[in-house]
Amino acid sequence: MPSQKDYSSLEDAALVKLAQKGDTLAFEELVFRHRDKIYARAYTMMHSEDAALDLSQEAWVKAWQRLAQFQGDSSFATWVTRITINVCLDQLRKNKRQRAESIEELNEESGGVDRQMPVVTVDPTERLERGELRQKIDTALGKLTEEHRTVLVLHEFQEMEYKDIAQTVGVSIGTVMSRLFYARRKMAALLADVRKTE
Amino acid sequence: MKLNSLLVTLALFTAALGFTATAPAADLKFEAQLIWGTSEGMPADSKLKPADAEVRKKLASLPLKWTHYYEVNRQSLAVAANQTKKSVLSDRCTVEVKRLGGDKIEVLLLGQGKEVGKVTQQLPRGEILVLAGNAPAENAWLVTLKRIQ
Amino acid sequence: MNDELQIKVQAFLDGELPEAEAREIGSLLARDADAAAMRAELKHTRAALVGFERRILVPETREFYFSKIQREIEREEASASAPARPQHSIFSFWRRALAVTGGVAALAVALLVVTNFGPRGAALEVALGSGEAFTYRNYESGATLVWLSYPAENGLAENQPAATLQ
Repeated sequence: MPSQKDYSSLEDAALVKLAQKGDTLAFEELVFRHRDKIYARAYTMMHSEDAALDLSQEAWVKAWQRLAQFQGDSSFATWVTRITINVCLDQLRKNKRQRAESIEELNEESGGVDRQMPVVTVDPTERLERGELRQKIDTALGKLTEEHRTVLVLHEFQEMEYKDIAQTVGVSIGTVMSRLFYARRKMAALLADVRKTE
Repeated sequence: MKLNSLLVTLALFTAALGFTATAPAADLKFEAQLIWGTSEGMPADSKLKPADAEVRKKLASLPLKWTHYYEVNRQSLAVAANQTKKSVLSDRCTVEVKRLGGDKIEVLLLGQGKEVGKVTQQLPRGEILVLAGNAPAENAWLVTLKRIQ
Repeated sequence: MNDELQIKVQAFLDGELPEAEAREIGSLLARDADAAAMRAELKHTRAALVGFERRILVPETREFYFSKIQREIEREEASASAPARPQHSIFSFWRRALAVTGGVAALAVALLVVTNFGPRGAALEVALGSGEAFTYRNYESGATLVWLSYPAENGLAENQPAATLQ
């Protein structure tokens, strides 16, 4: 059995093999390496630090339980991120079931985005510092509906194709395209507002 | 004769009552330890000795991951009712124990002279209170307080 | 430009259009200023997002973050044969404890956390100078843990305890 120091020198693939044999120290090392990324992705999906903390840990529990299924087709980090996204989507579905019917849901695809909203003709992010831009984007993402934020995150951050998003979220490709379009338009408007108020 | 006996008995009983009422409550005795938690062995030249088995057993019952616990310092404290006793466990670590009544105590942990935390709890005999935190290089410091009497 | 065309412009940008449709939209973009402006807006938004996901770090120590995962794994394994599952995740308990302590700490005032361990144990009160705390009690062993987020680098103990603490 390697000492704790040895674990930190092992690559993910070797740690996964040890963890698949029940080595919790190897799994702990994997959690330590990727926990911030997983937590950040859960946060982006949920836009709540509390929910992200709970759900990221729930995702790690599921990852442990499903380790035998990991065949190395993708990187371990990508695999756990997918589990995290599914855990977050499950939670969002639960939230939605618990929510009362609202105007927002009646207008789910456009999410209240005005179809005639003028096109933003300049790059709204010009001259923003990287840290500032990251913050503005985070704030703007928080103003999207959960449905819009989900497809945007899956497409832009998870780099998933339309059909994969459709399969993951459980909607048609047309719905994905529509939600993505309105999500981007709303983001453009929100980021343009940032520029105007500077 | 009977009256005398009665008076003597009464006098003794009254004296006993008076003694009970005025006698100071017994001190509560505690043992405070500063412990180093690590998952790696100590260097061969270290003077630290492993924490005693009873404390290690208690620590093992808590959600702590370290595999080795070494005693850095150990101090005994006898605290009278409504009094506070201070125990300096290292240059940087001091613990103060204040009796609040019954088994209830207030434990103040000072790090480099500043308050780190204050815990108020009943600590019956045999129980242990552990205040702990991270130390560099994935190790831990632990301050244990055990009620021994 | 109608909705369908707008969404096709987006699909063109994302490389999701079949070849024939991509050619059609390509020529539309060359001659239609509105379509070109829409494409520019979508492109700017996409470019703004890529690589700009918020960088946020787990607000817990490695040990505590993992200990919760480990305990939940153990709990689930222990109850694998039991049909009923608890309604609340163990994480919620810990998070609530953290939120209480963290929130008050942020106010930079003396804070007080009261954890009632139940009928067998008296309430435990924790007041912190700063930072956060977790509490845990094992009734069987009669041990109570108060884990403090005192910065490791401040060093209540040091890496070489033999040299610095005695």
